[in-house]
Amino acid sequence: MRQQSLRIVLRLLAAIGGGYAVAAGLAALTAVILFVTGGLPRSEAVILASMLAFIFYLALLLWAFAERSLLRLCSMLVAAGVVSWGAAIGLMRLVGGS
Amino acid sequence: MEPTFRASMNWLHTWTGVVLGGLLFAIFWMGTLSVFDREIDRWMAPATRLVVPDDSLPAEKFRPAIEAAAAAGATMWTIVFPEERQPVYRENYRSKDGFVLRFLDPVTGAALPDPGTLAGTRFIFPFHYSLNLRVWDIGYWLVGIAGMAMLVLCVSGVVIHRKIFTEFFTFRAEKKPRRLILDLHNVTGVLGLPFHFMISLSGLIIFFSIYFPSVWQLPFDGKRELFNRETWGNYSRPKADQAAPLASLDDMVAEARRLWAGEEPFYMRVTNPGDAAAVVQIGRSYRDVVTMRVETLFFDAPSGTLLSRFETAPVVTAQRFISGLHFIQFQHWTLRWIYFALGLVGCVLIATGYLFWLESRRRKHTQLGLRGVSIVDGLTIGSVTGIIAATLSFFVANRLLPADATVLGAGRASLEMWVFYLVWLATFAHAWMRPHRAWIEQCWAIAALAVAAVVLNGITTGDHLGRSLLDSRLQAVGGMDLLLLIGAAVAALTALKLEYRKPDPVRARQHA
Amino acid sequence: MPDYVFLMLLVTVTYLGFALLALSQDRHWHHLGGAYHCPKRVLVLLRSVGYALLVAALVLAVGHEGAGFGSLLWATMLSIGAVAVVCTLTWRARWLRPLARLFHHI
Repeated sequence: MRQQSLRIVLRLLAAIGGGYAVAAGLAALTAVILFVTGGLPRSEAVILASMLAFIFYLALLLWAFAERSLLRLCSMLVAAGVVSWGAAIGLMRLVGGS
Repeated sequence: MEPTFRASMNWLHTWTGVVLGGLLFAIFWMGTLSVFDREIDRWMAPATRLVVPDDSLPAEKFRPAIEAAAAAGATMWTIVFPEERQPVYRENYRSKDGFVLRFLDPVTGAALPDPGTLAGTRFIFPFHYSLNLRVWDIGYWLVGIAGMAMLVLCVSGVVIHRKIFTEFFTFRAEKKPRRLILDLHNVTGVLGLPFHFMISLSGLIIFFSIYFPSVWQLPFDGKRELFNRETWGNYSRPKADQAAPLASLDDMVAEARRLWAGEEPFYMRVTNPGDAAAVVQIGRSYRDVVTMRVETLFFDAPSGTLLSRFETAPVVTAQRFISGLHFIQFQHWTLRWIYFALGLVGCVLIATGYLFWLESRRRKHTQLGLRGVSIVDGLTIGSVTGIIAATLSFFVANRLLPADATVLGAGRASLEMWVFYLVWLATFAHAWMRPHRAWIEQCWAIAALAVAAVVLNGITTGDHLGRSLLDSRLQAVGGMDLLLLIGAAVAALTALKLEYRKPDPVRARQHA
Repeated sequence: MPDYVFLMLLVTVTYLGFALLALSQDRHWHHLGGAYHCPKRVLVLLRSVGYALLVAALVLAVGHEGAGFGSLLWATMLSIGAVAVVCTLTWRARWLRPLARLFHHI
């Protein structure tokens, strides 16, 4: 029983906190890619990505509660978070900050 | 996490609903009322029951006000022009002594007495998006969580609905309570789905820069001003620290009208008034479009020449369209009423969600001696009928408190708010203390308070229904009185129906 | 056309569209005096006319109010129209009988 409530708390943390971090990372990466590749002006890229962020978060939340393995959920969230944030910050550095 | 996708979504739907349903109901209820926030303002501030004259006042009329604000040390002075739903000028600036907000008569330009109420636009509307909790933006975040939860509830609700198409139009009013409540929840959920999804998502998108700050901070290196300039065209320049007179304001307004093909300005703002580097900013009205467009003209205050003209780029315009369909700042009475109706549908959806949870667990929890049902029962009553009763008490207090009322240093406007919060708290206490009677008694309270509000409005202002319905100046007041009476009737009928329904053996045993 | 005529037309078209879609479902078809199952060709007819009416409502709304207000009005009016049909089916189902009879003879 105790172990089960612990798993639920962990899943809630992963879904709400982890999902948020990944959604923000994916959105930041989207904004940076759109802007760096010259697809959109900077402000346009940011607004488009910000609006998509809510959709990303929604999808991640639903997936986080549908995924049966807690371990897989956490590891995928960590991986996606590291990759999206790393790529977004790296790309920004590459073009010389702002 | 459960064996099947549907079971997982069922778990998610149930617990998201039970945990955040009360918060969601409060947000939906206040949002629904905010559809008529300006009308509530007219009702609660009788001195502003005015009509906008055909000819607006010359902008020069405000020169003394701007000079006074400059003398008081204001760095920014703003005036919002009147329109049909808000027939007063709204002047504000921040002086050395604090924030100043004044309403001005649309005909004379003279300041109206302090209304002594925050009414619809300053209490109900901000409650809707910030719960009026400003510390660390905590209210915004709670509302954001509730908004995301609503999106999750919409999607998971569709997934777990077993017969979404075959029961699309099905409402079996003659069935047992549990079936009836589920039907009502399903019908309001499915048929209102496009609206509920759209209104929740657009509400979140309005505050994207609060909810996902990192998305703009990374590309803009954390420079807010730069982001605002590129996105919204905010123009600013440093103070010259040298006095200079203001050029003709009327000429600037005329130039704005010319550039906008005759369309009216919505507001005028003077930054650093009295300074040689002062800027006059005039924004275009978006009364006739869904998009809350950001079309702003910036004039050099001493010369009156145009410094900058800004119009948003396509994606930003799309964001403003999405904001516009949430804010409904446009003049469109049909849509306004539809939004109101669908907002109420949303309230029914949330309330029936709670009721279904309760009805499907009441028997089991009673048998097992669990306390879950009685806790959620009280939570539901306080969240649903409680907030409605509290809102109505807010209206009643507005008509009862004298203009100079103060208690413990709190002015009239704060006292009204205290009435709201105290009554709301009391409804929770009442619900937990008298669980078997609370629904009925709170329904009666709602009916009585709504009728009292209408009667008090008639007595204290003289604008009773017989008068307000015939006078176009009092349309907002008459409309609100009528809605209050309809609400009272619905509440009274509900109370009667609950009083004389067949006794439920489980419920009786639970409260025995 | 005047605003109120447009509005009445929009409400009617949306309402009728949903009424036909409801009628195409066995439960309501049977309830409104039809056989236990709605016959296949009637079903196809009901659905195609029903959806066509909803599309017509969109064209009407956008035509009269422009793309912004028109699409918003249409999208929200869909909910209102569908709720109205549900209320009719629940408390005043006989009002839809003439409509059902019209399709019984096809």
